[in-house]
Amino acid sequence: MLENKKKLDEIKSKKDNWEQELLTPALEKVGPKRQQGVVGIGHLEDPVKEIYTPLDLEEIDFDYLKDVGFPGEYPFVRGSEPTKDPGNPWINRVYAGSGTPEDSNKRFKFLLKEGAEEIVVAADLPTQIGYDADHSMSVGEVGTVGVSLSTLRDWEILFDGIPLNSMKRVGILGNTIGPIAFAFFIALGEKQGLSPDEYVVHLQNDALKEYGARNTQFIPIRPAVRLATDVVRYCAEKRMNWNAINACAAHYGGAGTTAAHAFAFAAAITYIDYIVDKGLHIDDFAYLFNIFTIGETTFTGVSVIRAVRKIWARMMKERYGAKDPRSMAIKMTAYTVAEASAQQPLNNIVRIALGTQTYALAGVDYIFNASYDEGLSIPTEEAARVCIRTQQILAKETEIPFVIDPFAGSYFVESLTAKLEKDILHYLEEIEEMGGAIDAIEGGYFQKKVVEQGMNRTIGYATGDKPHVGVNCHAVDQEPQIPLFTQDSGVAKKRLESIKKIKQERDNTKVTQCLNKVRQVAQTDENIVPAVLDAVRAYATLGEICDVWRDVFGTFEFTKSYSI
Amino acid sequence: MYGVMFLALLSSLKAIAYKEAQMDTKKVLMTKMGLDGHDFGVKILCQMYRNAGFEVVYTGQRQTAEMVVAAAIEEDVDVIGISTLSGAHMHSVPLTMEEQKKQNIDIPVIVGGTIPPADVEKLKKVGVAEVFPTGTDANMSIEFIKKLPNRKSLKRG
Repeated sequence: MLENKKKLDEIKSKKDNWEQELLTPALEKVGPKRQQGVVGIGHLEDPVKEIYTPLDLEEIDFDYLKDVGFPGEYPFVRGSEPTKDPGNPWINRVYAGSGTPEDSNKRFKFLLKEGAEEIVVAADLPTQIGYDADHSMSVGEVGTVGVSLSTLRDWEILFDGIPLNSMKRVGILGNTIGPIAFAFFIALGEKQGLSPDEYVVHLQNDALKEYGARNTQFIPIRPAVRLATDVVRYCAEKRMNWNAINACAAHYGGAGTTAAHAFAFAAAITYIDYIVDKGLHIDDFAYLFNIFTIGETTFTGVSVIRAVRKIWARMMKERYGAKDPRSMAIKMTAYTVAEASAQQPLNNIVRIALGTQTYALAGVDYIFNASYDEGLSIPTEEAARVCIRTQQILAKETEIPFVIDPFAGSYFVESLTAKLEKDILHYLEEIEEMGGAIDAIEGGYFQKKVVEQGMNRTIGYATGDKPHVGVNCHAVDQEPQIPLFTQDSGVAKKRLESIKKIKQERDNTKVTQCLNKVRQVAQTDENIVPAVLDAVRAYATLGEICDVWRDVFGTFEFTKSYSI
Repeated sequence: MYGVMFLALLSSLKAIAYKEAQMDTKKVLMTKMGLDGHDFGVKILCQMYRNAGFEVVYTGQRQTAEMVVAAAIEEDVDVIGISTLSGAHMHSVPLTMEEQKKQNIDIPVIVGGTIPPADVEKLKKVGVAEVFPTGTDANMSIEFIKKLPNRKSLKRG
């Protein structure tokens, strides 16, 4: 110990010398430097320092075994598994869907042929908000930002010729329609002759994220939490190895990476407490959770993801008394969007590749990335292919997959990991003092943080303090034109016809019975999933089921907190 | 799509002379129509418009043409700003223009967000005063609003 202290004193004295004799005159030559007061999209009080040394590890009282440990072991900082297969270091996902189920089926086949390993279904806004294409609220929105899906028939068409077990996983957001999206996947499996243990579904199903940031909510917040957790309970009871909830930091990214992750933890706590209250033990269901992280800039991203794994592990063990390592080892999902620009859009390929590299370096388990044209339209096939290739290049042409958690021990990254951990916990404490995620959202706290920090970033860009290449510097007079995807204008009409047809063909008495059952169960504390599953099997539409929910639970009202 | 939310911000990215922003008493109604939920960009724009000296009323989301026009009349605004990222603009914007005619008013409408180049002219044809697609310097919309006639002073005059 004394030996160590002596060594550190020596480093300190040599560092002081270096600063005086070498650094100071060098800095004078360089002139005033742009201060990097913000690391990535996170925010820290301290600016990034010139260099990091063993003194920084001393400052955080760094203890390798306690703070880092080994991959696949508590506190799981280095990842949930002991190693990764360098041939398949993570799952290459694609978020896709637009127009009719037929249109999207074609796109899915193209993406799978190009090497996508998981399709994440992008549903259109009416579908996400619980309206069928023939509802008055859906006019103008059918098939625009995703595929229009109303009945099991649509899902059969969507995955026609694509057995669910032919992909490593298959997913959807479905945050406020969680049990319905879940039921569609089970019923579709049945149609394809598959039992749920033969394929893996990755649901986002994070209802709170919609209320806090994304805004597809349509019933009041508390019943939405109940419906989301019903899916988790169902999976736990059936011992299904699916992802039942992805607690999302992504989408709160505007608030800064640490606040965003605190929001994700707060949401996860809300769901977990709800399920524990129903009598389940943490080890019965924690493995069904996943965290949807955010932090694309290299050092912040790697550090925050390491910190998040540690916080999760400790929370499971200390707060919830988990014994099963599976409960403590959180798997991570990430989506690269980058600070993409409409200007010189090809530059986005580079930005997205760098963000994706960060997630690869951090050992993220499931990665998907935006296309370079995504801010302008639905991706073209070519743009979507570049997404897949970006991941393939990182997985196959770099050293990254061969070494687990390569930044461990870096003076900078360990120091940053400790700071980000502290910052996340600080935010989380603030939220818990407010009463937890629901109260914080109802009070407008999540929403306000996103706008506040977003404004800081905007000012940074506006004043040029934060460079944005091709936008606030290196702009061009004539913007290059890129080919854009165009939607078939007949989508809405086709969808109306399809719904009309299915309503004529199905057994409407049975549908009514099933919807009555959904209503009856919704009014109790029972799990909604079996009733929804039967309704879906009988070709009840998504809108019909959501109408029952709206009827039983009431309709969501956008209060002032949501319009800050 | 996710990307859209972040790119929405781009309409507000380029240099804005914050500190030199001249105070202007224009009143702006900002809105999101239909099911379009990505509101990060519109909230940031509201803040920027306030910084530029405008009085801003944000309606929140899930608005119909009737709601928007009623709010614009009630608030007696100089301009209506529609933020649209969901691709439904060729539906919601013309309806808003028609509703204005029905109510016998003619408040200038500006539209910003994910609008393909081909739709810009179509929107102008239905009477939209200006379109600011993703990537436009937000300063341009501020300057545009400043140059609009002040309806209140017109009325008083």
